[in-house]
Amino acid sequence: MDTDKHPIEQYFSFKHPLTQFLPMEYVGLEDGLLTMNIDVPGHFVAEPATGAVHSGFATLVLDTVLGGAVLGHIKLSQPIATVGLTTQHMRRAVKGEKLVCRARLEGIHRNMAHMSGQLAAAGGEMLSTATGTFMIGTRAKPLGARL
Amino acid sequence: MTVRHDPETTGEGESFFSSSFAVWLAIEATGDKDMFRMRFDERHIGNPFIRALHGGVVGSMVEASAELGFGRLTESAGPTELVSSAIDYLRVTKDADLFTRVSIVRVGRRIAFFEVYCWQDSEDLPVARGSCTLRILEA
Repeated sequence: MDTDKHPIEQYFSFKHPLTQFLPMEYVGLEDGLLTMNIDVPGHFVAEPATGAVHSGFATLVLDTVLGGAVLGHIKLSQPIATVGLTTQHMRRAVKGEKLVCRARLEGIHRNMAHMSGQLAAAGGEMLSTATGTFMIGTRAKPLGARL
Repeated sequence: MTVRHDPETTGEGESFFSSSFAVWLAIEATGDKDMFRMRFDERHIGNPFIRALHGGVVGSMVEASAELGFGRLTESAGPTELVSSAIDYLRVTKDADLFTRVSIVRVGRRIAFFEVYCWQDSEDLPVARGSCTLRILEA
């Protein structure tokens, strides 16, 4: 594993069934702000007449990037789990549109990371905002161990 | 997205089920008009090591269910747009189908509030709950 890469870059470098549907590119981490570029794929279109994707696409992207930003802040590789996610949706993205997603760590207390993030059009128009809480070091066991 | 009542289809918002997003999410109606099912697929996995569903996939299912619930549970015919969602992840999920049940909190003239519970093994063991606010648009 390339340890010079941000954890979210590593996540997207896996041949993972989900990430294949999310064309995202790591831009950078500056002053605690993680930035990713996204090309809106056609799989999430809910209105064929306009090409508008479902709000769930923004929720999916924000959960991914907020979680990726958590992984960038913890020293040891530990599993994390989303505990809460609140999202506000303005305009829906359109298939083929270029977006920017940014995520910031607000603080960590008792293994709970508090995050905020936003999804915007490349031109700056805000599409969705989110706050999320993530448990670091979840006790969830692999499925085989739970059977 | 908007869910429109279409008299040509078998029920409210049925055209949504053939959209690219609904196919990706693998959401289906069930025999209960307030209940929906997400058929599990590998693309729904968030963490491949614990094989739990992605939190954003669960969130998408909550939002889609609330919008479909508006069409099915109310007499309103107007299209809607989801304004906000707040999701609590109550239990660890696994690589299996996800079910949702939608209930009305309040439907006003311009805004509607819904609650959605999600489960896998048993409805008595919810894995997530969500609160959704919908803007009712002019038809």
